Amino acid sequence: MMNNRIYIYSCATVEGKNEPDYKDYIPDPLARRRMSRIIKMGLTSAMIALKDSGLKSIDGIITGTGWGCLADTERFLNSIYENDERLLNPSAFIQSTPNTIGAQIALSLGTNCYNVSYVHGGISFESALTDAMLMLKERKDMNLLVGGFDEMSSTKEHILGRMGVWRVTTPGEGAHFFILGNSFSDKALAEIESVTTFNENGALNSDIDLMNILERIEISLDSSCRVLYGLTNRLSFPEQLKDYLIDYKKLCGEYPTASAFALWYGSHLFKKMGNVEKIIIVSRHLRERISVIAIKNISS
Amino acid sequence: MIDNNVIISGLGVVSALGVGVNENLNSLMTLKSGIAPITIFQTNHDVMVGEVKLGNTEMIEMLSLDSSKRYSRTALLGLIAAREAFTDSGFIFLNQHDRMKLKIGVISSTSVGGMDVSENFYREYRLDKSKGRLRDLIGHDCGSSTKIIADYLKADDFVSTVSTACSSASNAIMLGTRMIKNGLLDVAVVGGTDALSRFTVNGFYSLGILDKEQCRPFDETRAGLNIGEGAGYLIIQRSDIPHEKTYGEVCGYANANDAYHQTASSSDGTGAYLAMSGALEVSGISPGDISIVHAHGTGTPNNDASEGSALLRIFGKNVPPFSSTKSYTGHTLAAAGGVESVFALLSLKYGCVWPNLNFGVRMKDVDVMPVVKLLSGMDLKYVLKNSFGFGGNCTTLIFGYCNR
Repeated sequence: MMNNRIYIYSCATVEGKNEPDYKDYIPDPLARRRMSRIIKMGLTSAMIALKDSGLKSIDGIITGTGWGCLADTERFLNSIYENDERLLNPSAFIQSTPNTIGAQIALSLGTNCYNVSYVHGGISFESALTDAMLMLKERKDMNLLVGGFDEMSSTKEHILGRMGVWRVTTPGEGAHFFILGNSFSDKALAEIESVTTFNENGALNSDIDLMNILERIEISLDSSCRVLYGLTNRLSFPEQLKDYLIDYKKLCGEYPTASAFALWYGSHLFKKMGNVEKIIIVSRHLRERISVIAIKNISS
Repeated sequence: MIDNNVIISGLGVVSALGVGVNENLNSLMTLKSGIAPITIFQTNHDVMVGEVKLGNTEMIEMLSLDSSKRYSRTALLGLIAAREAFTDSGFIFLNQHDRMKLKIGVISSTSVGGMDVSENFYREYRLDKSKGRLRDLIGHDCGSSTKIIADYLKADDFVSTVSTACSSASNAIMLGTRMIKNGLLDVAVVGGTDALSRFTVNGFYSLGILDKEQCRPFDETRAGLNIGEGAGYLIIQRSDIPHEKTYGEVCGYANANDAYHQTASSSDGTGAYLAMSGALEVSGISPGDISIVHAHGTGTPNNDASEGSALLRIFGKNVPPFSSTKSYTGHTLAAAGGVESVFALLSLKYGCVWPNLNFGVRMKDVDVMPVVKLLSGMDLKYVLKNSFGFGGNCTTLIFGYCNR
């Protein structure tokens, strides 16, 4: 394995609350009409990230989604029961698979490159990042399109409400794509240092200790660091750190791939804030694995 | 630079052929198909499927699970096969102290997760939003069965789930191999699991690609696939970690996208060709070194023509003996790459090629002919395993026999 460094060249985000005009990115009206909202969000976000990177081609498409294509899954389930297994429309079934967005990107770009989708709840995006980082260390001169996305359908929101989730957090959704590569560019937004996930058995009403997490993965904090955190649990931390911490889920809401939003948000903080050298993103979706993504300023 | 050799030291499988490696092997050897009319749930469709002949309650007992909890069938099938593989490799018996010294992960895969129980919830919920038991949704997320397996085996140094439709498990095996090669894990439980569900039976029915008879891969009269259920896992590990047995080595792997159509494969098999040539490149061997091909071979007119064309592109006139075991198990969807990798490794171990069942007429348009009689006593060095899925996902693995 080579010791390649991993850079974020560009990134894009499409959120439910500020959806773009999709026809600018998906010009074929027939294709656009067939696509569910999450497919349009994901595909558009991917196209913007690729365009902003200035790259003509990519060597891999790696996606992560916690919930997959909910609307199409529900549409197909409904059709099974509504017509007693008759008059089924295959398009909802076809588009219900979680790899639909990765596949649609490959189709749009006409690219035969590596293409994988991860679906593992709150660390779906981290799984995609892990695969991408491995690939960027395995081979030189690689550029990868990596994304995380989830849609909040009205049914999902209602069911999670019945489960009591909205008593402790607020609903969110979004599609975030990144172009990652292993050649240095002074235009890169950030360098990805590490991605770690680990099991945490604590209940939702117990506090999670920030210092404990950082110690566990051997990251130390200083005044040039910022922590973006998004946990369903309450995070406890030393009082003197409070000005260095941002609760990112207050900005994007709760969904399994919200950490992809945090990576997008964090990637822009270096230029915005000036004196920040490192950003640590700590996430946990409901009771799932905790993830820590560390990125640093490319000038450091 | 780390570049560990990755060997396979445990196998586990459950399919329509039976529970465990021995029952499956016995059916493969005696040419006994597990495909029969559907009994597991009520449906209006007249379909043949590959059911696992075990009820959920029975599996909960076999696994000594808490019977007051709800488990999806996908998780139960996965647990049975993953536990068998972990036991086979001996890692299940490691004491806590030795266990802590190893980084052990689980990378599984599924296409519809716990849809078999989510369907029960949704049937009531769609009529009345206050109805439907929430605990029926416990297994809905694709990652849920993987978490249950990782907890059960106490193997959680890395846990994730691939979902690339019918190529999923092969991609899980590929990621696990790469992580071990690069030193991120020492041992990994890799494969996939999928249970039969109304969702998938109706889905494939709506696409018009289910055969009413037993499927006939690579046959001119083939009319579609039979859906199956099951789970298959390999224990893969660094070759320098002590192991009781070796089934072979993961020598090559590659993933490519057909980029042709969301559900159909290109007629020249571009994705399949690129996956096979990529895997050959990684393994450093040439097409002539491949002893046999364990094909994806679903039995749909489109897949088999496309895969056959890709085989001709790779091997030219010298296509090695090849066959598909989907005429035994049905298409186990996301689990197929796991179940069939176990079968491919059993081929290596026993020097056998599992033949295509139900074969009658050679294909007209693509000049390839599968193995139709059991071949045994063969000296097999490398087996190439194909798995393809919706979304153009194509993955090829190459297993090699080591220390024969």
